[in-house]
Amino acid sequence: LTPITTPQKKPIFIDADRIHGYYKQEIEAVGDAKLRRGDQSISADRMKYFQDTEDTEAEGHVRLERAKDTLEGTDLQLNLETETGYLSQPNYYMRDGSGRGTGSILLFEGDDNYRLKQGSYTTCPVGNDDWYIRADDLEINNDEEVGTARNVSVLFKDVPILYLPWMSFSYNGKRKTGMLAPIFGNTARSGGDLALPFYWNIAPNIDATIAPRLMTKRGIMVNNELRYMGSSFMGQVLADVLPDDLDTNQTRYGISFMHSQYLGKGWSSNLNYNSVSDDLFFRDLANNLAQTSRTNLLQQGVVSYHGDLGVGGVLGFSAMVQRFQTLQDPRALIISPYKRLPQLSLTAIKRNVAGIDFDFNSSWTNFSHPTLVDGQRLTLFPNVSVPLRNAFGYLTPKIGLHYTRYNLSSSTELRGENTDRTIPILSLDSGVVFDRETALSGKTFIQTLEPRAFYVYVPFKDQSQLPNFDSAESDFSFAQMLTENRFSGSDRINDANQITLALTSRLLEPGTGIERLRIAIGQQFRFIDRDVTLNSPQVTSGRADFIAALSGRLTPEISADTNIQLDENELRTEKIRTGLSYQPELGKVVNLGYRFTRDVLEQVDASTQWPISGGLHGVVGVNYSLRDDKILAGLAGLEYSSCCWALRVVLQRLTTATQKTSTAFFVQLELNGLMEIGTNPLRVLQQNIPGYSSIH
Amino acid sequence: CGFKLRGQISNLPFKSLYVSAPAGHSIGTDLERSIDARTTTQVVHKAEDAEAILQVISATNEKRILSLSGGGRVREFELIYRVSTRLVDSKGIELAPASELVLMRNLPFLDAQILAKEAEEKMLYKDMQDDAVQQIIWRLSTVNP
Repeated sequence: LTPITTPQKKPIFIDADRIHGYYKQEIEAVGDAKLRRGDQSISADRMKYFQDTEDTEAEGHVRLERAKDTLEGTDLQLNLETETGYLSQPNYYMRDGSGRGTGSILLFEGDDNYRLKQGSYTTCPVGNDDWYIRADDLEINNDEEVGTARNVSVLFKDVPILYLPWMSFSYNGKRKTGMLAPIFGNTARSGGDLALPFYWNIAPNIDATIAPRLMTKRGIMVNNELRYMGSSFMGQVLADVLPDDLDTNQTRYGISFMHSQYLGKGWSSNLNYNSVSDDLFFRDLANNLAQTSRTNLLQQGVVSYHGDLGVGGVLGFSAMVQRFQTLQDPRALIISPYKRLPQLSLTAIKRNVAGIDFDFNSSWTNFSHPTLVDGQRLTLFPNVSVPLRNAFGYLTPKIGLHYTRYNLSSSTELRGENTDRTIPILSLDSGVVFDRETALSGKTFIQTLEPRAFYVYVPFKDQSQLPNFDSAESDFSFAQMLTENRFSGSDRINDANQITLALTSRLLEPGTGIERLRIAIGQQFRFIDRDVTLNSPQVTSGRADFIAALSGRLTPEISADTNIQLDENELRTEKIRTGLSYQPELGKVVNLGYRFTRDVLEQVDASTQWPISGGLHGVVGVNYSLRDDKILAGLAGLEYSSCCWALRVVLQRLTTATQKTSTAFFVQLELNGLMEIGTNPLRVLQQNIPGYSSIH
Repeated sequence: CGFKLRGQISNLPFKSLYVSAPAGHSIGTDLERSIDARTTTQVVHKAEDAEAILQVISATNEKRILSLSGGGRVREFELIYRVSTRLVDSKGIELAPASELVLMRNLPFLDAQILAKEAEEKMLYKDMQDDAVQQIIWRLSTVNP
């Protein structure tokens, strides 16, 4: 071993079968020669090292071991100081297994940078060339872990599938400015579809994606997305423009702007503005349910405050302006909602003032509508409760006075004057908690038993002459049956003389307190016939008075969520929600669901992600309506995953409007660490198959 | 049959607690109020004075389409409320690791009733938040400091 130390230079160690040289000039090492300098080492059959210049020459089985990669070749010329030189017939391997490749020659360009001529790159392991890129010029920057390639062909199973004049990729997964892989697909309504997205990393907290999109039946659209984030704010702008639709000869656009900001001292603001050029924008141009099902596009600004009101006190205030753009289905027209221009709300809560809790809810709203009666409404709802607690349970009597005043527009003939309504609301809530230790299939749990009784009295007041700005009957549920008013909004206050009894039992894991299973039943006993009603279309069954529910994990693999509602008088099932999931491991899931609401809907859901063989998984999701006797949404697909790539093929069919459907075909090839070619169906899969996990 | 009255969850395994929650979110005040009312642990308003600190790392609302009408409109949403919390002592040493609670409720929906459904949605999120607060207190009561 020959240590040679030069001032200001890293020590060099050379080892070989034979070493000879001239002092301070050159050293020649022959036979199993090794040179080590810092964290870099070179081995070869023979090598020369020039001390003055730090030039190294090596030939025969050359191998460089460096901090981030290993390089192999036949001939090496490298200056150890400047890190410039070349390696012929190179093979390179990134240390962390994130990539490897070859080339005709490798040029060292200093600073952990090298360039390959006629280079290739893949993330597949050695011995597997399922995919690789071939580039005339391939630059690897180890410092930033990015690659830049010119004249690039992407080969999959040795077949060229894509050519790009220039591309840049990041092998540490960080997104960087550059072209993203093209997105293509096919939909019946827009034809063949190709988008070329460009990602612009403007700053660490701002980025943008601009994608020109060509649709054979519609023309060229530009999709733009801008995202930004700061310590107290975040936002997103989406703007899609199709300047001239070949099919409709119209300019079509969709805009969405979301911004939320914390203003400090409990104040925050939120803007959400959505607008599209026409009713069919999403149905023609989007291929996911979350968009095609949109009917009322929110356009809203809110400023709100949430703060303390001394010890045990909360003060909340909000000012909101809100309206909607209503997208109509010509075969199922709806009345557009009221605009709230503005709505001011104030709530105040003060707990435990000499054992008494005070609550105050109020709002003032200016409701506006082009065709319906409009006007202003003031509501005030002060209420007082006295929570009585002891070691066994609690009892909370509560009394409140609900006051509402309408000032309706004079243009409407019937009303045109002030109307007010005052209703007292009384309730009594009480509950007890028991617990015990219990054993279930060999494991101990804490089991709770929580009976609760809730009584409400509200006298009848004729409200049939009052307008309905924002009221509807709430769905019967555990949450709803323990509230005083079965109507949401403030235009209707129910008449009630009823007691609700509920019993909940939960299984908790003793070490963590995590809830494993919950069983609950509840029944409402009404002592009067309800006279306050709302004649509006319903999505809920208004007759249920008994509810039973079970949710949680039955075994580690099987979870259930079931909820049944009955009308006790007629012994009739009003509503069923039931779902069962079997998930023995990641990538293996089966979901079954059945949903029934009397006179509203009856649907079954089935979805699965299941391995077929090797790396092949099948995905299926169906939502079938027994009422309409048709599939409302369905998808089927295959996913294949190998060590360095994945292929997903998914066919999806959606109902977008009455007697209209949309079919979309997604193909995506994911080349690990390089790109995803095609349309990403992951979101669609996650939406349709609860518990779906990317197998790759 | 072995059930004992528990009444108040009473004894959390620490005398004083500080709650830190995302600014402007009501779960922080809800937790403080509930712990104050239902346990013997004292809620303090300075982290330095507390034996333990309950950190609400995030509390988010999500919405998933559950049922469609024959015309492709939404008839039911699934509301999903996620809250993740962690418990540390006053020196920042972890007493209970970050854990997430996920709660779900159904919201029947009609586009024509969007204002009313907005109020119902708020009621259901409030119900889930109350449920989450109760479950977090159960979890706190099992911590071994």
